[in-house]
Amino acid sequence: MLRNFRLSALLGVAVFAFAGTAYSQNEQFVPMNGYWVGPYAAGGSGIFGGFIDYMNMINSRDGGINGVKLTYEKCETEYNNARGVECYERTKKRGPTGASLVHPLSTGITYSLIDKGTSDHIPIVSIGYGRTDASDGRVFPWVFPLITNYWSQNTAKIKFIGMKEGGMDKLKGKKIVNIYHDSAYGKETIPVLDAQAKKYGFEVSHIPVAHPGNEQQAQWLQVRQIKPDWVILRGWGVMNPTALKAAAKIGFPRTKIVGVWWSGAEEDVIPAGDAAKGYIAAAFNVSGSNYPVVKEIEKFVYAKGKGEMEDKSRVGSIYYNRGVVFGIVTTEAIRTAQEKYGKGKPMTGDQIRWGLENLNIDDKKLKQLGATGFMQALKVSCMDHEGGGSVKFLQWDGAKWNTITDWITSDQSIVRPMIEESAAKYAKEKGITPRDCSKEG
Amino acid sequence: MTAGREIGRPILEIDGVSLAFGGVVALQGVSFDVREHEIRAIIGPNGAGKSSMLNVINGVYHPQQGTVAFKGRKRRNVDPHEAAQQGIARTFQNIALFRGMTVLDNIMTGRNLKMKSNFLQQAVYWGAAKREELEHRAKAEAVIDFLEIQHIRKTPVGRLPYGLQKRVELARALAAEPELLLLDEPMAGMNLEEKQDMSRFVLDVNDQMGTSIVLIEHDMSVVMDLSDRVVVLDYGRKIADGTPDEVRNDRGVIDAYLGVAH
Amino acid sequence: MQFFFEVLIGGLLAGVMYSLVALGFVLIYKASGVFNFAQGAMVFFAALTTVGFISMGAPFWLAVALALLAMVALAFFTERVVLRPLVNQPQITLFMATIGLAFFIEGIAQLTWGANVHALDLGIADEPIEWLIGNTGMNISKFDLVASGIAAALVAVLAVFFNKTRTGRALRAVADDHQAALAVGISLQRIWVIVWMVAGFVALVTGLLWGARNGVQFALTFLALKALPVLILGGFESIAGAIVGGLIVGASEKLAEVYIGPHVGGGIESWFPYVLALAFLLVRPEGLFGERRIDRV
Ligand SMILES: Nc1ncnc2c1ncn2[C@@H]1O[C@H](COP(=O)(O)OP(=O)(O)O)[C@@H](O)[C@H]1O
Ligand SMILES: [Mg+2]
Repeated sequence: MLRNFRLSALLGVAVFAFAGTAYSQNEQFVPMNGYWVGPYAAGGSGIFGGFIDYMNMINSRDGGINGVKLTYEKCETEYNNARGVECYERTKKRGPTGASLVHPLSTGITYSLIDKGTSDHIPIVSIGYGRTDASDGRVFPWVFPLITNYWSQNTAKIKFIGMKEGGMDKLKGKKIVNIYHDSAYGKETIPVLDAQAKKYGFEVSHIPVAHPGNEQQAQWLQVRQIKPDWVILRGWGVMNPTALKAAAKIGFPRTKIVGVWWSGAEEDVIPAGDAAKGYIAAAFNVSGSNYPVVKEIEKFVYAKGKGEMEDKSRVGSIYYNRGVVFGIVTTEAIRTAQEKYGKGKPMTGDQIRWGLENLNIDDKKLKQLGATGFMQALKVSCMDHEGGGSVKFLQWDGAKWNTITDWITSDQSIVRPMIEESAAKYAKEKGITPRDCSKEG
Repeated sequence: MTAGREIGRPILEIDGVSLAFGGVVALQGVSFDVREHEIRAIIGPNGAGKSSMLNVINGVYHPQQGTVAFKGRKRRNVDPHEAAQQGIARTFQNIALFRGMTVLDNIMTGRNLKMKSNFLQQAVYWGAAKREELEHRAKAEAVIDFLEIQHIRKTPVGRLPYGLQKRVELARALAAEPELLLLDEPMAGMNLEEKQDMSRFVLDVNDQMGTSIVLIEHDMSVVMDLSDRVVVLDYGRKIADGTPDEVRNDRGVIDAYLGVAH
Repeated sequence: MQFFFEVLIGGLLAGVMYSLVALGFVLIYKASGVFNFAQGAMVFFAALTTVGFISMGAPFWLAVALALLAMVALAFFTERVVLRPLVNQPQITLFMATIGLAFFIEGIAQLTWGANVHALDLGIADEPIEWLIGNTGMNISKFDLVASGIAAALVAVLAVFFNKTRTGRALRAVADDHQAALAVGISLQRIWVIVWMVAGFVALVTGLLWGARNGVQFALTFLALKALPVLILGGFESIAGAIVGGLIVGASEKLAEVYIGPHVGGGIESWFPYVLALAFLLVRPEGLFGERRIDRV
């Protein structure tokens, strides 16, 4: 299937892939606007592989959600804004109730869709990317940067470093270098880091790497000059393995490099070979196929000769599992909506928005889903469209990612005011009157 | 006369060749032949179609009508490199040497078709390729000696004076050991001494190697001295064909050269 | 001062790697006057094919040989399907065709070998040389040194090939004067196939070295971006220019990043070489070693 799809994508032909057998009114349509070709295909194919496999598992095992079959259609965005918008337009009216929600899987496409989703009444869900200040649901009712955002993650990262140093008070006088992708995405955490540097008394230097980042000698020679205690890696694509290689070149210990989750997949470390050993990255989902939820996918999808991943060894990888998290969040939001608006009925965008805003995946639910330890508990609200904010830290041992911490929570005392301030500014610019959350039900 | 100078059967037969570029007619129903070991001159005023004729012979231009037969084989659309394979070499009116390369390298390109080692052998520069290179190098050196250009063997061609460049171009053509040699104004722009040298070389080539030669030349005294027979073109048509003496006394030729309106 | 030299040497070594990419462009441009947009895609394709065969269990050298075969096939394909039908078309048409070719090659590469990223281990550690650190305090990677050596060897091999063999001479002849080359019996089609084969070989070496450096992944196609300023500096037709241009770009961009970058917010490495190249272009439009062509009037 994937092979065919790639071929069709090459020829510029859309592929219609319905998970359900026959078309009926009792379906819930989910667009799969992702990327299976081009520079970022490794991430796109992994995440959408896990996502689609999870939905197919729900169809196959449970017969859908309370009898409502999940259907989907793939559309190739090539991680390109214009194509992302095209895909959105093409798929927004499919199925009996239109697109349930959309995962743009690109911060750029997310930005391009905020206005459209808001006026079309289609929720924009961005998990682990997108617009951080959209966590303020009063200003962004249709945007859900769920689970965790870059700012939260960054405070957790400093906490982790503090833990390693033997307490937050030990951070005083320490040197941290922030090597970042020279883009909006890369620059996003500079203010949070600066705020924390002030609070804890460490010294932070920000060193940019120009896109694509396949040459970093200059940056790492600077690191060598600075002699930091820790390096934070905020990379993307080829910049990640190149950074690890360059660190090895100057002899900087990889165990003192902490990356963001877009620097923390197998695809980010494997190309670096041995140079990646010992490197640590934040994660909002773990790696490994030893979780009941992944086992269920293997049993109900792969054992039946189906499944999205051509290379089955990628099942259980970071990207794949992240896609499973996308699947869980999506289906649970639909389920939550059905509980209010009618079990066994396809839900509209408005109803799913309510489902997302009232999503509550607690530990008990996680256990039911077979995802204990796989992802964190999540409670979304009108005020808080993030709903989680914790990360685990993983360490690469040369062959796999090992989880080295439990969920480490973010420091909302730093993050929340920044989010509210930024969202309020956006509301003012756009002339949006923030919702009064006490009136939402 | 030596054996080489014995004029034989036609080696090249041009039959009713017409060539036009859009509206410009360069050649119109031209027919003539070139015999083995002969020096055949083509003369005519500027724009008469002389160079176009050479270009037809070695396949740069493809005539709209008529045929060209080389060694009895009729052909219509050959490519220049096929013509070269069949044994036709040439020089150009506006020197077309490889300016960045040395004289020796330029001449070695003339040996191109005679060399047999394949690309892979050369890629690793195996013994066979190396040996072959040396053999052909010797042939090239012989041509260099013949044309008396030993002293500039290693000089990049772009740095040579015009007269010498013309000579190098002849050397490159000779290196291919052609059966038919096409020379487009080989003496244009030369002083008297250079012209005499060049004339001597052309005669020697014809004499010692037995090569058939088609020569375009403006200097009538050179034409009279060198050629066995002369074709005269004017406005793309053949207006005369014969020995130098016959042509010199032809009324039409005299008119054409004096610019009498037709 | 020691830091300065460290940056400088690191930059020069990186520059050699840029030269390697530029070299592929130069070869094709010299022989056919075409700016081959697909060179980056060829680097990616060659490296991916090698690791693809390795992951299927082939020993390293066999995988390299098979990848080389694939590049040869690609050369024949390109000549037959792209170049031959477009002969005598304006250069811009050929350039556009190579853009199409780039997409085609990238597509075929991912279609055949999947979207996965791979590590490539050439068995040369990418680590600082202890001895140098001990004796000079300078941090130079062993891999970079070896890679430079390989690049130098490749250039030497190409130089011999170009200067001492018939085909090399024919390549130079075609580059110099199409007309005259045809007249001495050189077949343009054959030369094109050969030059694309040689460019494919260079792409393979480039892909292996860069792949070992940063992993074998789609981003290898971005290397073309690094080659462009090198080409502007060195001239599109000069092998020597590609080498010297690469060294200049490598050294200057590193020095600029380290010494100017911090004052302007950094990240200047990506555009600095272009500014340098453009400034240079104003002074010497034909590049470092390019021949100044005076059109006959
Ligand atoms: N490639 C060409 N394109 C258009 N016209 C041409 C071309 N080559 C020659 N001609 C024209 O054909 C005519 C004959 O030219 P040419 O053969 O060069 O004459 P000659 O060599 O006798 O001076 C001239 O009018 C010339 O302009
Ligand atoms: Mg002429």
